[in-house]
Amino acid sequence: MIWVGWRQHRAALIGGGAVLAALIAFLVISGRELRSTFERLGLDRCNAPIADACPEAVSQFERATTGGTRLVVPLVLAVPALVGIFWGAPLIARELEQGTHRFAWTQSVTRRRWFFTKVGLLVAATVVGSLLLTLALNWWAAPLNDARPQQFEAGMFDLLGLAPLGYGVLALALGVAAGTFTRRLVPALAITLVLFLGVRVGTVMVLRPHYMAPVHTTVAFPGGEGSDGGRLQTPALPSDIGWGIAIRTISSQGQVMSDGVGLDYDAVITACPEAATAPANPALAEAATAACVRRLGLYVDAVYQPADRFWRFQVTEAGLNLAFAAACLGASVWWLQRRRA
Amino acid sequence: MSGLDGEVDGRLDGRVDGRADSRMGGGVDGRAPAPILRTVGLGLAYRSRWALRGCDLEVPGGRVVALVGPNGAGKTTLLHLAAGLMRPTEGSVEVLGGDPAHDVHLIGRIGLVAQDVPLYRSFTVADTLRFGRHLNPRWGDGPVLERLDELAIPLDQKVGSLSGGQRAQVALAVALAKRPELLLLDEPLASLDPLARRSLLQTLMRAAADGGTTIVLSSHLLAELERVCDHLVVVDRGRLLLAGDIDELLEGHAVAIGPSGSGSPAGVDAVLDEADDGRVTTMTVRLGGDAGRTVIDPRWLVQPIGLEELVLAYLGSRVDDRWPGDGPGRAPDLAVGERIGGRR
Repeated sequence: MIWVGWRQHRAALIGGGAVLAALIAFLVISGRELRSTFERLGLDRCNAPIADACPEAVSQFERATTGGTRLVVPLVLAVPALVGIFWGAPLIARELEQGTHRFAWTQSVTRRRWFFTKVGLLVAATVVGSLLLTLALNWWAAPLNDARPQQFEAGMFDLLGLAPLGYGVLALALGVAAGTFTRRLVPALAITLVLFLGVRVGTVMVLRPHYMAPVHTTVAFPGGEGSDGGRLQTPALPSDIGWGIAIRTISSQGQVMSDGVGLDYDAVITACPEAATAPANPALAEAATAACVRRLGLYVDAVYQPADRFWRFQVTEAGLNLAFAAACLGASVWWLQRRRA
Repeated sequence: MSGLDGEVDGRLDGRVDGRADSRMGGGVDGRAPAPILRTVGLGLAYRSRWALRGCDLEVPGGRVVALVGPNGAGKTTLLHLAAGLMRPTEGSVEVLGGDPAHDVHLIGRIGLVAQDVPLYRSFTVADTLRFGRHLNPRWGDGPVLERLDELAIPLDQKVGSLSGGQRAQVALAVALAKRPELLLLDEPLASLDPLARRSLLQTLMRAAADGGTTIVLSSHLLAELERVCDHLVVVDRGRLLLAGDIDELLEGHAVAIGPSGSGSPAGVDAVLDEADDGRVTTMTVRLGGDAGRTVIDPRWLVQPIGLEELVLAYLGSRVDDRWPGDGPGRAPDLAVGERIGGRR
């Protein structure tokens, strides 16, 4: 039975393996570059946390590596979609379209067994491939996360841990279900892509922030002392922020002054016109700004997920994806068993 | 080329005779063998349209059955129901004493060559047979390998690159290697050239003779099945019109020619169709019970009927116009057989 699945899908499996090998090779090359840049900028000699010890070098590092990062992140996010399109959608759709299911279903094998043989083989391949890819990605991303911890942020979160596995299996299952229900390859491809992107975006935007209630803290602005040449001195954010969901600067009246920490110059001028009158004199400007901050009662309102929840979130998301995938496969096999050939 | 034709023809005819003998032997016993395929009130609806309805059919073992009807008549539906690919909407279908839609072991005893011969095109012939070997506990591909060798079909060739005739032979080989007790073929000859048809029928008849397999072949063309089949099932528009052993059907029907306007001759059970040109009436009739299968009426000339005429009379007795789901060109296909009324 394994042979049957292998013989049917070996072209897809070999093709997928080749793509995976190429991706891993690319990650190795890119990862070596990241490491050499990391050392060239002396980041390996900074004390942890590196971002605090050597802020200049870190921003230099991030500027230098942004090209490669921009390429890798979307590339790897696209891999599950490719699994859904090239492995999932054709798996059943092509059989139904070409009528070969009639050939298979008139051998002495139940539809359920036929289905799970085919699907099982590709699910196993997806799991193994995802794990290999995750290993390579973890290694690749290590210098980036050393320089500035960002495992929890959207984008990086999706490359590490169990996320690629969950998304890979889900995309496969969506493809299988789309193919089963449409019975046509081309619509199945389109539906797979749309569904997967919808689920993907929906998860990140809607679901992920709510796996656990986020931590909500406020930090008051220092309010003038030690403010630097008219620039607003900002408060230190909590050190355990893993994923900042909403970090805003708010006045004591509850007015949102800005997204992020601090005010831009325009906002200061709007709120405190008197601060604009003395920009030429640093001492006056400083005093005016400090007075303004005091008057506004500025504080930072931070809604975030602490960094130590990373694995809980990884497990939750992979669990959701795998459960959804199982539901898709269950619905598909149920439908195949009751449908007419 | 013509030498080969003659040889194949000769063998085929030999088969037909041999089969007829064995069936007669069975009949002499007087025991009706248990039906291989039995349907009771069988119906299948696609949404609101009935593809088949009220079908009561019994096919005895050892027959070679021609399942005939225009396109869209319900032939494929009947075959798929018998092969367990569909479940009836109403009624029941029983094959080899079991329910094919719910018994996977039964599927191993039924062979189906579906319409357009679906096979995995990227598989080699050997892979295709190996596929069957992996999925069927009852598997014996010795004879079919011999046959493929005889037909010079290379085992290492991709199925997709075979000719239509070769592909049909491979599909038949997989079906036969299951050593089925019931072999169903849906329009197996439809897209084949005459030589490939003959070759496929030859493979089939050999298997029927060797294994005693009951075979059902569907076609919208009776002519291509007529000389290999001994049992006939006619369907149209989802209804079963006629079923029985061909010899008995031919004995039980006749063409009667008599004076215009004189009603139907005595001893006739039913008039299937009638053509009156003002002077002479020609009608296709079903004769009365077994005892009096003769028409005793001196005004009427009673002639034996040909199989095609018989089928057409049944198809025509229900309908006056054309075939559902079909161009008007399809009906003449059936009408303009090469040997209307000329059955040997």
